[in-house]
Amino acid sequence: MAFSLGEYQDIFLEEADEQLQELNQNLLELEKNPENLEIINNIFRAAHSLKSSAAFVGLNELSDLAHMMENLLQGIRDGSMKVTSRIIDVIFKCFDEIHNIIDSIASGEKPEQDLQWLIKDIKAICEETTSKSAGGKKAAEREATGGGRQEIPKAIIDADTRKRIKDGIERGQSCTEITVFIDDKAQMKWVKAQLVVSNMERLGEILVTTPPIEDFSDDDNSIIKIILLTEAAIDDVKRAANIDLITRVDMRSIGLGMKEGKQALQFGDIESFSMEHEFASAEVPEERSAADELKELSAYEEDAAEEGAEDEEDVDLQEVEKIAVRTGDKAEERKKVTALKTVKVSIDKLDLLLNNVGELVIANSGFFKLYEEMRKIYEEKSLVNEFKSRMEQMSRIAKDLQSGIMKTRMVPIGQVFTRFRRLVRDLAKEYNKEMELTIKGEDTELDKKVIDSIGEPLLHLLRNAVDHGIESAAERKRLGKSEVAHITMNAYQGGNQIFVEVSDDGRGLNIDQIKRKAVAMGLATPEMISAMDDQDIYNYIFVPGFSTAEKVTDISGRGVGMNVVKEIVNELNGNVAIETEMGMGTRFVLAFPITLAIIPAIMVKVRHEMYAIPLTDVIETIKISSADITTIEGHEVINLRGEILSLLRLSRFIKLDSVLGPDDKMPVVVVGFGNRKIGLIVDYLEGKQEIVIKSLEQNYKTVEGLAGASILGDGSICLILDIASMINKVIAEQDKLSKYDRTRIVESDEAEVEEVEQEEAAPRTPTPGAALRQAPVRAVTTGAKEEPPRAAPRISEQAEKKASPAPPRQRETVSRADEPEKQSDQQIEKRVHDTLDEFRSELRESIRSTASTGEPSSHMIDALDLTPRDLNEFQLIANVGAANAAESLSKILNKRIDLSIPEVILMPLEQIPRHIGDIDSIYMGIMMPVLGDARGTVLFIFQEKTGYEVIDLLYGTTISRTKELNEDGESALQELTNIVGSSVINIIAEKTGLVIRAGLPTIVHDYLQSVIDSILVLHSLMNDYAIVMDTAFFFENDRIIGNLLILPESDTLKIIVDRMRSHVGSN
Amino acid sequence: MDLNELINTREQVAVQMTGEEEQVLIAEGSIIQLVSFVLEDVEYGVDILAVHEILRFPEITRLPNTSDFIKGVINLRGNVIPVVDVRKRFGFSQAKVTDLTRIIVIETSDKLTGLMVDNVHQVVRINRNNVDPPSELIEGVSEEYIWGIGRLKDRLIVILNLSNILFLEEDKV
Repeated sequence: MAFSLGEYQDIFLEEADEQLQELNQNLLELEKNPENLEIINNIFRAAHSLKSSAAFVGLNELSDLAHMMENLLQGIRDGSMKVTSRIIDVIFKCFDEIHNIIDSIASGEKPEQDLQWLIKDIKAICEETTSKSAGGKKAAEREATGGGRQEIPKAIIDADTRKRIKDGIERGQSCTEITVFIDDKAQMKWVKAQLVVSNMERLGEILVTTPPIEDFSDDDNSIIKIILLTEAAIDDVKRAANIDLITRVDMRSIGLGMKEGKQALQFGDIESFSMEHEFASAEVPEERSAADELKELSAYEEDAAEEGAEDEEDVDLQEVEKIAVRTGDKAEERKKVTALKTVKVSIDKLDLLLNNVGELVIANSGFFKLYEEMRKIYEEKSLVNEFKSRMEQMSRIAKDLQSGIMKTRMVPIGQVFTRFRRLVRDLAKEYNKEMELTIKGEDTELDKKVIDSIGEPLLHLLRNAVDHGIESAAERKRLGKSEVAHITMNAYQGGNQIFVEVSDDGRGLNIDQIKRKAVAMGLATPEMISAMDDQDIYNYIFVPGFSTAEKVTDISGRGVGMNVVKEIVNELNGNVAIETEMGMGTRFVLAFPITLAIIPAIMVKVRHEMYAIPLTDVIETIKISSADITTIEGHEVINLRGEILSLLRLSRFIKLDSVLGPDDKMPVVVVGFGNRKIGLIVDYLEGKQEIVIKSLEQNYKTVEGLAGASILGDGSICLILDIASMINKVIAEQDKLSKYDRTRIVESDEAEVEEVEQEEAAPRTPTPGAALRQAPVRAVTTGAKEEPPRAAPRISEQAEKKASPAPPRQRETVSRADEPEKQSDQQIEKRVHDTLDEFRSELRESIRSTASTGEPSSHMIDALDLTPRDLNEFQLIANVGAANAAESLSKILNKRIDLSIPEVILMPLEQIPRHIGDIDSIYMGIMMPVLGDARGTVLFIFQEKTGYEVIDLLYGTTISRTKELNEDGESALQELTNIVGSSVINIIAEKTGLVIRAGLPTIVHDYLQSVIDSILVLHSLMNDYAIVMDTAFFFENDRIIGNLLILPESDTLKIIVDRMRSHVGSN
Repeated sequence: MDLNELINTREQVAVQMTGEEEQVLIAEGSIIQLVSFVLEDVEYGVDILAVHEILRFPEITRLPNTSDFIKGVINLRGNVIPVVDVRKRFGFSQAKVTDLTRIIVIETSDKLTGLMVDNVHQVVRINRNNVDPPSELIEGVSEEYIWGIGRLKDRLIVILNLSNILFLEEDKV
């Protein structure tokens, strides 16, 4: 890392170089005309300003040297010293050293020249000569300043005043020392003084006047010094002092600075204003009279500026000595560096130039087209080739010009960073935390516009880091961290972006608190949160007003100003990312494009209209088919790798008809803004291009959805899309939707399914939860276009097959043997397996969402359009049916059978297995479809062991003989189910007068979960819930035999209940 | 079309006077010069001092999501400027773009705007004394767009208020 003096380095170097040149020249002349006072004054002035500017950028050694030079020259000027060759030599040596220092700074090295010997030399000369002419000095001084004029009084700044100044500055006031010179010839000077003072009083608080205004006497005083604490602008102060017969006003600001690690007052440069001339233009130091007084001023400065300038000097000298020991005579080896030359140019001019060069590049690209045409027409190859090479040359030059001008806009970020050293120090004190700011990458260059605006976001980030991120020293110690916290600001380039980071090693963001807060503020629902990744959740802190409410929490205040950060950064086409680890710290990374004037963009077309999307906003481009799209309430979404992606048809946005047909693949540009993203459907993707941004506001106004325009190579205009505003628009809809979804997923399942049926889980955009339950419905209605419809029966069959593979001993039993099978078993197995997995995960999902929306059973009843009364009535039938079934079972098994009171319950599908038994055990399930007017499934389910027992019972063999399910066993169980199930069905048919019959039973031998899944698949369920009639059969000894479940389809239940009522009524 | 050409071929109307006298009056502001165009049999005038240039119909890029009277934007030597379809703005029916269709580029409050008109008729001079305040005389065109009505011998010229052409009530549209 190069040595740098911070933001004023360039200015300092420039100035110092000028001053040095002037000094050299003047000194040469002085050598020839030792008596020329003007030259001496010139040298004096240059040395003086060198001294102050060196002190300003912190080059204390240099400043000290200049100070000694000043002393020396002062002696010459007041005549107490004679210009001797020795003095000239010493001064030249000073110049050389100063030059070396400046050179080393310019080349980025830390100046380590040994100045001690020079300072000693000068001191020696001064002492020699002054001791000789001691006593005469005062008189000479008077003479030099032109007789009668009074010496400038020294303002006395005592401790109390100093404190008041400090307080005032901290309150945001500025402190100025004003020296008012009243014309010598003026009568009643004290009145003038009084007048100035009262004028000043109106502007602010006068801390001190020297001499005290009541002591001001006409005879002795013509100069009054006022220290004023004010909020008024410097011009106002000037105006207040501008009364008749005031010849001149000197002002210098007093600020707070650091000296030897202590806070101390710092005096700015003196600005003189001559009142006899026109106000602003009168820079007195340029004038003869002012130069005369400089000596006095500097003398005054020495004494007034802080306690004991002498002590200070001593300390500095010691330091210089130390440095000298360290570095030896390295200075001489240093080679000369060319002087730094800069020209200040207004950014407007640069912009204009950049604009023109942009045009040049564009205009130039027109030649390429021309060349193509020429090549076709002209026979004369050499001419065309010549044209081509010239053209290419032009284009190269134009591009060089463009990038050159672009570079002029780039400014190193160091000057912004260093501003914060002070802030961090102050904040550390304020919050009583120990911390250290590390700055890296100061040389990284950013666009001027970014540099100008980046201060505020960085300020907020730093404040938050100090205020909320960093723990107190005690807490840090307790946590085993170093007591001194570290904050780092870093800037670097990566790709075509510049990254600016602010990181701390504090406590990090508390994600749970953010989650809670987001929910509390209604920004998201718990289920939305649970689906979001951490980064998205952290991004909530950028929401305006986020966290301000709860002052108690750690994250509170993390949101203060965060919104500002986000907004400003986005305005600059940048992005903010958060990396955080609880207890470890937080890192904010701001990313900016390298330049703002030219951006890379993706060009898209709708019909013939070309639009540009800034590449920084683009996440990816994909193609989808219309079958992938789900439309809910006119809002189109696709499931992109498990995430819901809202779609916006650009054609619709710009109100133009798309050329895409319904079967065409649709190009989609996935664009992101902040943590949200959407897909933009376009007609064509036209590739990447660099574009120059032109504002629409310049001649028109902001247009919704447009960020500006750009002129393409052929001179035509292409509009740049404002992705942020588009996303906001769509996301607003999407948010509405998710709320809607949340409640409606239950209420209007039908409608959703109808619409969802359009959806085709695209093979290339895998969509977990591509609802299996939707597949049968689709088959019933339209069917998919691209692949043969996966008809419902087939699915169920596959599901049955799926059930088989798991445990080794079981095998599949497919009742419908006549079903043609073309696909290989493996394939089917895999598909079924996948589908089931998806199904399950979707189930879980919906359960979770219901669970969080409140009391589930009422929702479920609502969702199925049932009333509790319907359920009660169904229960009645179920009771009779179950009793009948028990009777049949008893007959078959020739045993007394007890049954539990049948229970009709509504439950989420996922909970059914758990309800029945141990999901981790293997069960045998025999299911029998109910067909006819009412549809549903009867499921008879045994634990594996009991199943074998039942088989034994049925065959009348010894108990526990059966160890595996063979064909005989299966048919026995099927028969059993047939009888038992039919007895239930018969009762229902009897009670309702419906025509119902039993289908062929199927056996599934698997883990309970799989058994249940199999029925659910078979059951072509459209809901997340099922009505289950559950009854358990017991042997005499209370040992459970198995459960009989009846799962009517919800509309069937409705039919049953209705029919029963009317049937009962008609009877 | 070249503006100078237009001025040269202008009809000598109103007062007959020497070029010098005329120049003085123009400088004083008592004679105003207008670029005139005809729409639906009514002649409209635009203050020549506001006219930046007159273009043949260029390639226009449609500007979505904005008022329908904004025909689009054009590239005027690197500047992107909006074009107002004056027919639409005044509520007339759409007309075909012909060889005579022109864009009068005007400058109001530091912004350049193109006015798309069926034709550019001529440059007329008119004495300020002959300009009346707007009345409801002109059918179809809202008073707000009219700065005044100039009387010239046997014809009337509706002088347009340019700043209102683009922005007035646009939000409502």
